[in-house]
Parts: sequence; structure tokens; C-alpha cells
Amino acid sequence: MAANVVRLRRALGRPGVWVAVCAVTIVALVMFPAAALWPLVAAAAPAAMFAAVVTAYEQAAAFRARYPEYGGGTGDREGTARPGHPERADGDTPGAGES
Amino acid sequence: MTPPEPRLPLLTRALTGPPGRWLLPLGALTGLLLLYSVSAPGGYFGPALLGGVLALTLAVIWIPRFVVGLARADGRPGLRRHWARWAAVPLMAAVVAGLGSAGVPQDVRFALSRASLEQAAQAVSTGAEPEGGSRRIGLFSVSSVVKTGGGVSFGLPDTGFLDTHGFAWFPAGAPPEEPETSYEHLEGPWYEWRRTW
Repeated sequence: MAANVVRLRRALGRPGVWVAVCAVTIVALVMFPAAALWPLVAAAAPAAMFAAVVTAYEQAAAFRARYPEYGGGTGDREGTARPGHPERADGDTPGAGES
Repeated sequence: MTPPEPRLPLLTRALTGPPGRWLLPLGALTGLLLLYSVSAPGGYFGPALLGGVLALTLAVIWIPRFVVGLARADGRPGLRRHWARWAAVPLMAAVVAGLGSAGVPQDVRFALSRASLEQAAQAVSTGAEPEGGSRRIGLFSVSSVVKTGGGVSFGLPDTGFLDTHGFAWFPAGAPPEEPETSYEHLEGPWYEWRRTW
């Protein structure tokens, strides 16, 4: 039981799980375009995406705290003082990753 | 040998980074699809539906990322640094909404096709060309060209949901009253028609 709770908490801490929930909700709307689904999509899809983005920022913050010498491990070299040691004084979550 | 630099997962970097190589082209594609869907009388139902779903998806992706980035101290510098990329999606949405609600796509498409439509209408009305089915005239695919009440009617395929729509050319004046067809004047001898199902 406790192990399952831990597994669930770990899963909910992954942005990918929330992105999948968001995607499933939108796909459900396309496949079953019933009027009853619209309020569900309007609430569930953005809520899942919000959760995904918040967990992603938390993951990035934890990563920065663990690997301060890598500047968050995002590979963003903008404003780098020394190669491999980016300046992170502004606390920015760098924009090397983009979508 | 130095160990590889640890990196965040790709999805995490994408969610905390600015819109880029996927979201911006998807936004542009969605905008073009939506503009195309309103570029004929009655609109094209299929492209409008697809464009609507894509626009909903974009909004669901963009808004939470922007709001969370704005709310968090570690997100705001990224928004400031890449403000142009963040502004691009809502700017595209505003342009598409403005052009669509003003009827610009249909006006432009009709203006660019008007000479060809007029030429075809004259040819059909004088009998130089037969009435007929599918053909391409100007920038429009036309499903039928028929003489009607002193003018020529052009049917547009895939427009509307249950109704059918098209253009009509009446050089002698207003179109005749018809029970199931309504006309709306465009300019000169040109009208837009809608036949209820």
C-alpha cells in the first residue's frame, strides 16, 4: 500500500504524466465530440497542463540545486562566464529547451 | 574521460523554455488553416474543425506555460529574454481573429478570382461554354456552373455544414426570389448565395 502511494506520488511528480493526461483529454474530445465533454476538456486539459508546467519548473529547480555547476543542466550558454559553468545569478530557467 | 554533463529531460526543458521550433510553426499552420476555412461563403467545415482543435491545443499548451512562467521568479527572466517568441503566438491569434472576423480572406480570394469568374460567367451565359460540373476558376474549386434566372450560379464544394453556398452573377440586376435560396450582394453584379438544406 505504502509502496503504491510512493509510486503514485513519484508518477505525479513527472511532467510527462500530466502532459499525457492533457493529450488524452483533447483526443477524447476529438473522438467523442459530445457536448458533455466540452466542460470536462475546458477544465481538465488546462489543469493538467498547469500541473505539467509546475512540476517541470520544480524539477528544473531541484536540478539546479543538485547540479549548480551545470546551471540547471539545460545547456544554455547564454551569459556564460566560463565554459561549462553558466551564470545563473538571475535564477533563470534557461531557454535552451524550446518547443 | 570527463562524464557527460547532466541534463534535464527534454520535456522538462521544453515546458520551461520559450515557444520555439514546434509551437511557432504549429501556430502559423493553424492560423493559415483557419484563414483558409473562412475564405469562401459558408466556410469550409473540415479545415475549420481541424483548425479549431489545433487552436484549442495551442491555447492549452501556451497559456499554462506563460502564466506559470509569469508567476514564478525562476520563470520571469526567461519570459523577458524571449519576449518576442512568447508574443508571437497571441499576436498570430489576434491577426487571424481580426482578419477572419473582417472577412478579409474571402474578400481577397474573391478579388483575385473575380476576373476569371466573370469570364466564365459571360462564357456560360452566352453559350460559348457549356454549363457543367467541377472545375477550377481563379482560386476557387467550383462544383457546378449553371444558368439561373438571367444569371450564372457557381456552386462551391465542401462549404457550409448542411447548407450549400456559392457565388452568383446577375448582370441585369437583383437575383429572383427563390424559396430555399437566399442572396447577399457582394459588389457589382456579384452575389453570394446560400441554399438551405
